[in-house]
This record gives sequence, structure tokens and C-alpha cells, in this order.
Amino acid sequence: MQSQVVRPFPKSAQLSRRPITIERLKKVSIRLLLWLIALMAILVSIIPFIWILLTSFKTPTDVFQYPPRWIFQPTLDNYRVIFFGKGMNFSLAFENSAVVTGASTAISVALGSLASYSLARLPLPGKRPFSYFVLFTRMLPTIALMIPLYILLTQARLFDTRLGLIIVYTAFNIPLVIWLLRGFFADFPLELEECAMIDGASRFGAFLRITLPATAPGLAAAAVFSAFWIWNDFILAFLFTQDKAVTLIVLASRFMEEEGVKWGQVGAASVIAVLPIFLFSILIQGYLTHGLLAGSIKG
Amino acid sequence: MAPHLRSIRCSLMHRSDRRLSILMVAPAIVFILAVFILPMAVSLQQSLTNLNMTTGESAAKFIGLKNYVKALRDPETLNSIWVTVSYTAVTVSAELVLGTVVALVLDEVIGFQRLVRTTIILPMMTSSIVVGLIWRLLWNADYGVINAILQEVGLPRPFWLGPGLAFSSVCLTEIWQNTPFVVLLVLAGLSSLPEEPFEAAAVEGASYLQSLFYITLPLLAPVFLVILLFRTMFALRAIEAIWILTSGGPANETMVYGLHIYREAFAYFNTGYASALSWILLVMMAIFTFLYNRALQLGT
Repeated sequence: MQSQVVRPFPKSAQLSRRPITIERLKKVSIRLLLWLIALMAILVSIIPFIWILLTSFKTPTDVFQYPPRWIFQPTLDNYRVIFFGKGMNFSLAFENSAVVTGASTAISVALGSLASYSLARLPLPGKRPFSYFVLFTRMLPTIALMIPLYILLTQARLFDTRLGLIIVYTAFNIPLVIWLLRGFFADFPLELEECAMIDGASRFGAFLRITLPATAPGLAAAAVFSAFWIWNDFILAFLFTQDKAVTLIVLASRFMEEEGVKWGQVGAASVIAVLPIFLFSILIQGYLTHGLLAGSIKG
Repeated sequence: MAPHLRSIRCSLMHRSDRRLSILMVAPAIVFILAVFILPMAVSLQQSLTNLNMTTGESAAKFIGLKNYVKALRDPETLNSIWVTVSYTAVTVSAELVLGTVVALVLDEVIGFQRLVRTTIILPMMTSSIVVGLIWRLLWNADYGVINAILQEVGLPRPFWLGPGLAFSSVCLTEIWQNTPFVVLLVLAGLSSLPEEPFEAAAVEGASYLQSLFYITLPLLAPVFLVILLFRTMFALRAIEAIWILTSGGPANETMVYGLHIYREAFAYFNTGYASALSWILLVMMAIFTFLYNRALQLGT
């Protein structure tokens, strides 16, 4: 990650042996300032999360304390209520989110990688208009299609079903996958495929056995981005579900419709919605940057 | 393989490759047809009628372009366009400046690189709905943390999501969530810069600011372009955090275009009019996509 560019501010190792001068003092104070800004950025990023985490362990009385309390007697009641409370179906919502995210991601990455390869490597007729259209659907605001989609899903009896959501998410996600993978396929050396074909493999066989495994990092990045997006999405799931297929994010949003918001439960729901994503982000760390950059810049 | 052999083989392969190419995109096309093209066609047809969900489809009449004409005169639509444009302009420019500064700082700071970066990008990984929920609690005038801190330092405790302030609070929330995207891309851009210009500048005795403004930032221009276009497109369609924070209020102060369409469609049941509003958005997005593609081609 780190390049060997000549640094405008020398690192501490270079500093240590020189005598104390105004010059050096200036450099040290600049270093300090930089650290301070970095620290600020980190604090601003995480304090809101810490606050909602704390809130999720608070009783209603503690939530409405003023000034707000950082130290209090924690309780697990909010989690108990959202998972096992009456009229609360977070267990079902969690299951729905997991199933819909998993299935849509898998199908869209599979179909998207086929289309993307065809677009990047094969003599597909109408390649240019099609790739424009793919980009266009990727940019399409969900809200612009919601009315007709709502009508179509209702007519197909897919309203409030997991299958309906999976179909919609798969379609919305395929363009993203195509776009992210195109660069990876275009960069893959043609010679390697030709070698396999000389050895008797068909073009499709070469794609399956040689190209696809070699672009595994790209596939993984596409899958991660897709899964994050589907898990986090609200509008589609909100419009096309009611009770049975409702997702975690939709259920969390419903707290706002009630009189007197139950912040403890909101906190618990937020933590449950965010936790899988965070754990996953930490697991794959710097990897994300590469996939994102490769996908967005190579185009 | 000899070149001439390859060309013979290629021409033989060409026909079967063509068939394979179509077979490979076919499943994706089926999905796109069903979920994009068909609804878009239905929506276009509806936008030319006065269809209203409460009166039903039988009462709908063809009214030509009247919905589109109405959109251009409707003060609520014009207001929502204004809100969306200013929301996008404010947040994207703030994110760009702030994100670049943070990225430049993080690039200099040594140690804990991965930990710092992972922490910093958490807001952008979070669902906008959850971001809205978190910030609605933080902005709360009575028991919110922000007002508690303000009171601590002797400042007044404003009603953040109320009249006059709601727009800026909503913008700040968006900036909090999406500045990490800029940081991430600028950091990646910084790590892939060539070394030679910086070495030359160091030899010439250039100051940090000189090399920043004359070398670093110009070299990052393509990255900035990508960020600008991406963020603009996503800010133009952002509705989820606003939905939770203000639902477009107070008095339409934060009523962005997407929320306006939603309200016309699902609160007033003006399906025909909402479809026309959707198509205006679709056309604008198509133009934007075209420009985006052009800019990318020029940039690389």
C-alpha cells in the first residue's frame, strides 16, 4: 500500500539524532497536529456507533436522562424484546435478510460473471449500447421504478415473498457485478485461454476452468459489495414486503412510525443490522479498497 | 502458435464464439428485461394518463404530456428539485474537500494503518436507515448527545431537525456517512502515484504545499473525477437517511426529489403524475450516465 515517495515530513527515526532546533520543533509539532486530525477523524467516525451500542443496553429511563449518561446499569432487555417480544419478529427478519442476501448475491454473481465475460471478451453483437445500458441500470434510482414494479410483483403474486425480493435484488445487482468484473476479465491474458483451447477445451470450458478461477479475487470483491448492498438496502424491501418477507432494515425503520420512540430497541435493532457487516469488513480489511478501485476506475 | 495459424483458427472460432457470447448474456438480459425494461415501459405508459390508485385503472384517461407540463409548474416539484440540487452540491463538495484532507493526513501518519482505515470506513458500510436512526438520536434536542456537549461549553441547544436547521443537519449526516468513500479512493490514488516527480521536486527544494498543489493534486485528477461523478449520482438519489431523520419536513425543507415521488405515489396515490416524475429522473440519469462514461474515457 505505502509507496516510497520522498516524504515531506521526515519520520521520527530520521528526526531523533538531530539537535533541537526551531526547524525540528516545527516538524514535531506538525506531526502532532497530523496525529490530532487523524484521531479526530477516528473519533467522529466511531462515537455515533458507540453511542447507539450503549443505548441498546439502556433502560427507557436511562435513555431519556439529561445530560446523557455514559455509565449506567446495562440491561439485555432490548435484545430480548426485539427477538422474543410479542409482535416483534426480528428472528424472522434476520432469517429473511440472510436468505435474500445470500441467494441474490450468489445468483447475481453467477449470471453477472457470465455476462461480464461475454461483454469483455467475446464478439457480442451490440456490445456498446448494451454496456451503456448496463451502466445506466446501475445508476438507476430505485425510486423511479417502484410503482410499476410494485404492480408487477403484486400481479405475479410475488409481493411479500422472499422469492420476489430475490428476483428484484438479483436484477438490480447484476449490472454492478458486470461492471465490477469487466476490468478483471479484460486484463486476463488471452494466451492462457488459448493454451487450454489447444489442449482441447472449448471456449466455455476454458472460461470455467482457467479464467474464472484466476479472477477469484474479483468475484469475491463483487460478492462482498453485492452482499453489503442487498443487506443494507431499504426501499425495495420496504415497498415489496409486509410481514412474511420483511427484512431487518425494514423492521428497524418501523420504530420511527411509532409514538414515543423506543430508543433502546432501536439501538438493539441497529446493532444487529450493523454487526454482520462490521465483522465482515474487519475480516477482509484492505481488500475492499482494491476491489472498489479496480471496479470503479477500470470501468 | 504462429500468427497466421491463429488468424485462421480465430475466423473458424468466430461463429461459435458469437453464439456463446449471446448465450452467456441471455440470463442476465432476462432479469434486466423483467425488472427494468418492462416496468419502465409500464411507467412510461402510465405517465401519459391521469391514473390515480384510489379511482382505479378503469377511470384513467390518456392525457398526453399534461403530467410533464404540470411537473414543470408544480411548486412542490420545483422545490424538491431545488432541495435535491443544493443537497447534492453541498454534500459532495464538502465530502470532497474533507475527504481529501483526511486522506492526505492519514497518508502521512504512520502506524496502525489498517486499523485506522477499517475504523474510518465504518460509516460508509452502514445502512443509510441505521445511519438515520443513529443520527436522529444524536440530533435530538432534548436528550441528544450533541446538545449535551453544546450545553457543556455554554452554547444554546437548538432544535436540530426543526425549521431552519433541518437541511444542514441532514447534510451533515450525509457528509458523515460518505466522506469515508472519498478518503478511501484518495488514499488508494495516493499509493499508486509515481515517485519520480516527487523525487525531482525534493531535489529542487519544493515545499510540501508546492508539491501538493503542483504535483499530488493534479496527478489525482482522474480519481477526483471518479469520486465526483459517483458521489453526485448517489447524492442525487439519496432518500433513506432523510426518510428517517425528517421525512422531508419541516415544511418540505428537506423534501428531496425521491421522497417527493414517493409521496405523490404512495401518499397521494397520483400514479400517473408520479410516473412522469420518475421518467424525468430516468432521463436525467441517462444523460448523467452518458457524461460519466465520456468523462471516464477521457480520464483514462
